[in-house]
Amino acid sequence: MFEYEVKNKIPLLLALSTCPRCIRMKKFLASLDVEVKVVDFDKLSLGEKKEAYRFLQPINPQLSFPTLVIGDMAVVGEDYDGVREVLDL
Amino acid sequence: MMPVEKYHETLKKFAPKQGLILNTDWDVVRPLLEGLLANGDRYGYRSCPCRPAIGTMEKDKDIICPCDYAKPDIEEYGACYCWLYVSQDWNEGKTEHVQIPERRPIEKILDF
Repeated sequence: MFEYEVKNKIPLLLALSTCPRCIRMKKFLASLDVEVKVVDFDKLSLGEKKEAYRFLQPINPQLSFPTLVIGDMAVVGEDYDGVREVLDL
Repeated sequence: MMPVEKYHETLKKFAPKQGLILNTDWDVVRPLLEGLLANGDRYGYRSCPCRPAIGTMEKDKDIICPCDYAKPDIEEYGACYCWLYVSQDWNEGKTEHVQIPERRPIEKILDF
């Protein structure tokens, strides 16, 4: 899961559709001129959720949202400075 | 869906009875209440909007709002995980508004 995004270093935002922090992070990313793949974890099937957790756990052992993954780097939570840093903005 | 303002009024009445203090920052509270109402509509219970629910009461009961972790988080950090319920000091700006680490055990998160 998400091999394409990781391999091509496409920013991947794992979020929840109901979480205000995630909603703010989506708006922030939308304001940047970069391609971002957004996945609302809560809208995945149970099988996809298990798979997404297997992907997320080594990156963010708390399994919290939002988590932004870019290649082998990740920004956990509402850390806008961290996002600017990993996106080199 | 119940209007968010009506839900807010209800919580304002019930929070003190549960020994809880609602966050007074409407910009924080409003989207949380919208998330809680959305979860209520899709799951039948209002689980934490900042945590992924599985959709069965048995698995999600510890994260039905107010969650089992709210009181220890308020005691330690001044707010629950999503910031809906807080301490008086938090509301008065006397404590730093930090991101709350996940207290829910990983085994519970992965148990589905």
